[in-house]
Amino acid sequence: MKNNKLSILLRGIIAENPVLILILGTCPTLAVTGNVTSALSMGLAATVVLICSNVVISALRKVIPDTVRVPCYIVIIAAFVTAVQMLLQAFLPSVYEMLGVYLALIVVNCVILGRAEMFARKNTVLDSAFDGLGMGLGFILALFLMAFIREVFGAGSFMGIELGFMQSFRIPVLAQAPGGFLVYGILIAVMNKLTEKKGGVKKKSFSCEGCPSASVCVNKPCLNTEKKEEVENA
Amino acid sequence: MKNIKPTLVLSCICMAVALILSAINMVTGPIIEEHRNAAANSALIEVMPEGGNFEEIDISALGLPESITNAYKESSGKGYVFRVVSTGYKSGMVIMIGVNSEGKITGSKCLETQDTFGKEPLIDNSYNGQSIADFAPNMISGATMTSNGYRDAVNIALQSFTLASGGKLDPAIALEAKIPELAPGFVNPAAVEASGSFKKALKASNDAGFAYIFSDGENGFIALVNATGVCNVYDAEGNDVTAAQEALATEAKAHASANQKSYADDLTAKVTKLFADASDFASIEIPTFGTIVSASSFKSGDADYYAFYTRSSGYKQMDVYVILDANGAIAKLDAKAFFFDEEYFHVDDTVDVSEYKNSFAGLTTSENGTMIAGATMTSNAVKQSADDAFAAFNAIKGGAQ
Repeated sequence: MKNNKLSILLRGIIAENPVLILILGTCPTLAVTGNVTSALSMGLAATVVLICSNVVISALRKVIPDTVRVPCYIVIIAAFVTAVQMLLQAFLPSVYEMLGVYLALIVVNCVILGRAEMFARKNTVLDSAFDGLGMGLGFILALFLMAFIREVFGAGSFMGIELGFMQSFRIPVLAQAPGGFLVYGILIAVMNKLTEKKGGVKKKSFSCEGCPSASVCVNKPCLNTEKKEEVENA
Repeated sequence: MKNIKPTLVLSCICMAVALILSAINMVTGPIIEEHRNAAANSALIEVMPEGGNFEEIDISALGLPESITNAYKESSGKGYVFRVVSTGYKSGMVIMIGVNSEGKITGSKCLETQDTFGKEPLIDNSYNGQSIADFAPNMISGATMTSNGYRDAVNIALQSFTLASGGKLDPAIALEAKIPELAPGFVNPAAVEASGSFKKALKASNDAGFAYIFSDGENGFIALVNATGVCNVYDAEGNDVTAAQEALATEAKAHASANQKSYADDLTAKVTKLFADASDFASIEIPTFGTIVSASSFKSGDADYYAFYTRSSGYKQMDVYVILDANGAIAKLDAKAFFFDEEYFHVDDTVDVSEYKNSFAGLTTSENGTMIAGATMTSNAVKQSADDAFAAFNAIKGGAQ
């Protein structure tokens, strides 16, 4: 069993990395990776919310009726985000200032809502907690990687400290919005190449099965619609 | 019944969430409020270190100068902080100025500016301790415009303090501000030693006249004496009260005639050069307050002429002679120097000065006066001189008829 928990934890970091494999939470990824400090703070804040909401949603999974599950998830996630927001504003105002509007946008961060929908509502509290932690670490890692590349090579600094030797080699566009997309795309490509060899998730096509989330998705309705379409086409 | 459960669950979750969040808010709320106040106050405390909490006051009812955008009152009555927008060399400077309850400057800081040299920090806080009574401008060489803007901002803050704390401004301040409107030809009036019943005496830098300010703190008058010795007295509303304040006018005239530099000989010499047979020179008094420093009538041949010596400001201080015939048309126009070469950009393409001077002959208004492209300031100054001469001529003729 312990092995199982470990695999849940590790899955989030590499094989099902939310940002680089599942392509979730793209907006904050692009927005806050201009520098390492804000990327790490964002990652931490999102991870805290992710673990807490996963735990609560998993605990209430038998209580929450299917028809109102999404509003319920949103309310629970929003509650944790608001709590984190208030605590940060009170005790770490500089971090609060730095994250700005993106902190509030954690509410609609697909990583969190996605994990609630894909995992927490079908698994035990402990598993959900490990899933939250793993996904959170994967999110932090991906953000850190992007922010590291963008800040060091784009702005020539690390965590706000200027790196003298980088000043003549920096590529300013990396620190700007287009650079965010560039780095993101390259990282996804590299990640695809790496996981391919290890037999990880690989997009086969743009159908439902090809989706990186297919293994955890409720794929029956998906497959059903496809079959229906096949019947109709026939 | 089937539909009730989802509603109930969602409502319960919402209520639980609301309860938890309000509990957290009870803890964090006061801390957040404190942070907000501290951030808002930090700029204010910087210019008033002894201050604690500040509250913004409504400035619309106080009649403060327009350049005051915000005013803050220290909660325990230690004074006021004003946010002033002043003009520097090219951009608006935003300056925070603290004035304590005794009317003394506690601090000043320039928050925003685009001025090139960034000399504002040199002036920041240099006015500390000054009050409206002992206000002394701090001029930084090489940053005159910035210094002027800063000086005006401090002055305005001091005046605003008087108004905000329920006091009344000395009418002298408003009267001094009226000089450009009442005597447009008085360039940069600067204070000279005042005597007698006048509170302040100012002399135009182009010698076009003097301004004398009389004030007992309640009522005030300003006496303007032009270079030809004509005096007008105005009250704080700008009404002409010369007839009622004859004593002030007499005193003003006496001081002015003792201190006025005479340009009459200079004008006579110039006219004699332009009109070889000029004779019967008689200096005339003109009732306008333009840039004229001397005026006289003379005869040449059988005709009457009027000569005006004007000192207008163009690229540099200009000495322009305008000679009008009996019909008020320009007979001759000349200047000590036109400075075209200095202002003109096209140095290899010089202006034909005599052609330029002749182009004014016959004009009765400066509207069609020649403009030299590339020397706009000089051209405008010459037109200004001509205008002042026309105005003076019309005033004399109007008065005579």
